[in-house]
Amino acid sequence: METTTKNAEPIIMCQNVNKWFGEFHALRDVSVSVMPREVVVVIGPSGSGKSTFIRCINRLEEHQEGTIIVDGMELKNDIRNIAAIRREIGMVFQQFNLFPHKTVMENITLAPIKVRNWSRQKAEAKARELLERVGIPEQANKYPGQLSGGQQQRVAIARALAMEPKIMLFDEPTSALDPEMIKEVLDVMKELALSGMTMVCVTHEMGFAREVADRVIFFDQGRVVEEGTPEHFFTDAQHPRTQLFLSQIL
Amino acid sequence: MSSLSERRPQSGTRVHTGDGGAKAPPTSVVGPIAWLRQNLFRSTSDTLLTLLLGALLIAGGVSFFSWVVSQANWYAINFNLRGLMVGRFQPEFEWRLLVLLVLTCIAVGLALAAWTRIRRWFPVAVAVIIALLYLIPQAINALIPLPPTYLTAGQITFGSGPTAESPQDRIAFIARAGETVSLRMAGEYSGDLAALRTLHSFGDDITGRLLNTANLRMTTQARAAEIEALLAGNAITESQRALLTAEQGRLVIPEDILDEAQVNQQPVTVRILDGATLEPLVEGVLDANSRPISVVLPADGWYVIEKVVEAEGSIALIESFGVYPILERGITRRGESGAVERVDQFVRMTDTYTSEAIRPEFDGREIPFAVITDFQYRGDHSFADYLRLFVDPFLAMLATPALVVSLAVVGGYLIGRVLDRVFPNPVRPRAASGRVATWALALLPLLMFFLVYGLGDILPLTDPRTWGGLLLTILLTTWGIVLSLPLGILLALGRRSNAGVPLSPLIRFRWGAREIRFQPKLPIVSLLCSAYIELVRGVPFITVLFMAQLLLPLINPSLADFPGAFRATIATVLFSAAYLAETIRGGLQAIPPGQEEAAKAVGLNSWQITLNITLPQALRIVIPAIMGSFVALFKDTSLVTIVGLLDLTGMADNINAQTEFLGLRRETLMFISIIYFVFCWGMAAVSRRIETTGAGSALKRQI
Repeated sequence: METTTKNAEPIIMCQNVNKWFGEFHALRDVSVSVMPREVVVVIGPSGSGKSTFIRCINRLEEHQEGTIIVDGMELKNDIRNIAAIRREIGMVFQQFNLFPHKTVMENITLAPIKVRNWSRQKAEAKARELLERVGIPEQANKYPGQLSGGQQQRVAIARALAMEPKIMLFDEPTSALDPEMIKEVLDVMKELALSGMTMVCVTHEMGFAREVADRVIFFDQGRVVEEGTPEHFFTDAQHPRTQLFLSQIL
Repeated sequence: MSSLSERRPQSGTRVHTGDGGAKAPPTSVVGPIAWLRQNLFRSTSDTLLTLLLGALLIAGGVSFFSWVVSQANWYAINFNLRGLMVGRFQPEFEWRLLVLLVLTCIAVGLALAAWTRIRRWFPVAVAVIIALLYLIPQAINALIPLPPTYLTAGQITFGSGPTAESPQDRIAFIARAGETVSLRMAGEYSGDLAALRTLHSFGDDITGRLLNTANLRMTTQARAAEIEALLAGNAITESQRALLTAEQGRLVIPEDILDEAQVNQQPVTVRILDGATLEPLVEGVLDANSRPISVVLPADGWYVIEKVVEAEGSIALIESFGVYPILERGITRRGESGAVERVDQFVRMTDTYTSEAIRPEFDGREIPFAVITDFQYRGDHSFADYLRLFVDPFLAMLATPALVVSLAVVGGYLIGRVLDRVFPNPVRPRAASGRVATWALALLPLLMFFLVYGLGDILPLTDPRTWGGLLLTILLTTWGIVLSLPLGILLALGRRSNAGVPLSPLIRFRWGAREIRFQPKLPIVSLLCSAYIELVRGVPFITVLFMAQLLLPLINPSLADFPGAFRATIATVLFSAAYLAETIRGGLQAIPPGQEEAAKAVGLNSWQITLNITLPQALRIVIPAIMGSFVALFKDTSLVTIVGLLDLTGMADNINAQTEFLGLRRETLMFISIIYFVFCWGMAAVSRRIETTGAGSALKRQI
């Protein structure tokens, strides 16, 4: 594993980010920085703004105030800038969002071919390598509808990784899965974290947070309420809201 | 816990060991009786409904088929099959339609190879059907003789004034070399009105009048007897009695034609003459007891029957074999010298034998021949005559085209199979044939245009005014589908363009030294598309058709020469696109937003998202609705009749307007309905196929 830049510039830098849905104030002065190779887990009750926050990082949601700088580029309305940032960020969704009309192989190779202009051979070689990595090399020619939930989510991870992103965003990747399938997805995510990928995960898997995260951020009512290492978080939480939340889920 | 388990010692842990206990599902054997009971007679109301519907079906079916067999005159179809299929398409270019048909069938064969599994019995069934198409006419020809024709001779006049008619002394007919003509006095109809009434076969006009008079006399007599019996009894009221008396006063019983005219009482002298020279081939006198006179004809062409009764007031009913009604038709064609010539053709009704020989004359006047209208089949057809007169020629005409079509489909299928062998694909074994079939089907509409219309110097242009029948219907439908689908997609995307789907291009141009960049505001595109869609959907199709025919030339006079078929195509495309756009927009709205988000997240731009993610899925969702629109479009093409195009429906109308086929509207409508149905059913079958196993299958739609 490389040993670089733990203390260099943050790769994601959010400052005083505000976001409203109509009258509803969804993000309130959120300031979060993520360093390269860091694994950040975002937790919080539903409706607390954690999904909105990570969707702002790749501009699936538009923030209205504050600055978000990703990999040195500021997210503004310039469409080329947004495209460049999205190329560097992979995202995994709660509902997988695989393209049902394309095979697993086509799902993974579509973006590298269209966006990175790779040759089909190169894209497919990469896809096979990634499917091997997520443990389902034999499913390449099936349609998403033929796979189990866990397999679909692993394909979604492979699809995101195929663009060779610098950052991976996970938006509750295991929430829609049967209990038996959660582990296979978490294993892939752990492996990814150990390999040095910068990751921001919204999740309710406290075991994962404890084991893998470098930092845990707790959201409530659109605000970052508490932030710290997993040890701090699970043994020594300070804010009463955090304590209440943890007491209910642990 | 311990107290609980003490109380219920049996309910503790259970561990199942072994193979999991999987068993085969029970096989359900349902006999026909049990099936009936389960499905048709489950309850009292079911039973009642079953009986009611069954009775309706049987009653309707019986009367329908008795009409088909015994009353309908299908020769309007057999005679005009070419017109119904291709209209007046120039015969010298007909080979191009054959090429198109064969190419289409090859493409269909490729599609079968790529996307279906042919059951093993299927080719066998097709082969059997084609063999039957060849064999059944042969069998009918061998087993069932043609019905006789009844001719009347003698000196008698029916009616008075301009409608008065007498038997012709001479009747011309066409026949082929080697055929036998035989004549016999129909003695069995001589002395008995009831017997005369049972005559059912071809008969000339006077024979028809004989029959009608006999019929009328007998029915009137029967009614008179009935009234008399009622008046004699006491079972009726005074008012009924008054009504019956009045009716009795109105009844006029016709004269007994047999007594008056002495049918078959006097000998008749008959001759069969050669049509060109009027030399008798055979001559004889027929009376009730004499043997038939017959002659084997030496050559193809015209012959004349001469039949004379010397005695006044006597008529003879002659049963003839080998003399059949003729249709005269004038055609224009390019002769051997290249000049356009008009030719009179004479077509024999029973087998479409066609002669162009000069019609015989007598005393400087053309000898009348039996035309279909006055030589009609009298009475109800027997089943044997139905087979011999209608089924036999129809199947005989169908056999060879069916063989060509099947061979081409089989050829396409085999090509597909060979392609899959030559270019194997381990993942999708039928990828090669699938790709070729897709291309073949995609190229067909273009090929159709070049083969039917023309292509520069290679294929000279045909005259679009000659396109008609099923050909025109298919042209309008195919081009309508192929052009309206892309237009509909554009309109749908345009209407949604303010909802995040892009359509507006960036327009850049130089104005002097400055470069001007201009991107039309998306709401404007959306507004324009919405306005177009709502405008077209608010106007009947006929209006659009009329506008295409009448208003286009006003906009630009050069459009007046633009062929009507193309103008109708444009109208169809403009109309259908508006409806398709709304269908497709529905599909676009049904795509979960997560699809677009995932596509954005991997970096695709909005055009790439539309083309690769949302549009393909939207189209898959709306395949049933789109296919429904296409079926509707196919049927709507029949409206072009109103602007003077002779599509399948227009051709049927055209046939019914000809004197020879007056009153045969039911038959032609029935026939074109069957054609429309077969095509619609085929389209529906393709749609079902795509929905269940193809691009629209659940496998590729779920999530």
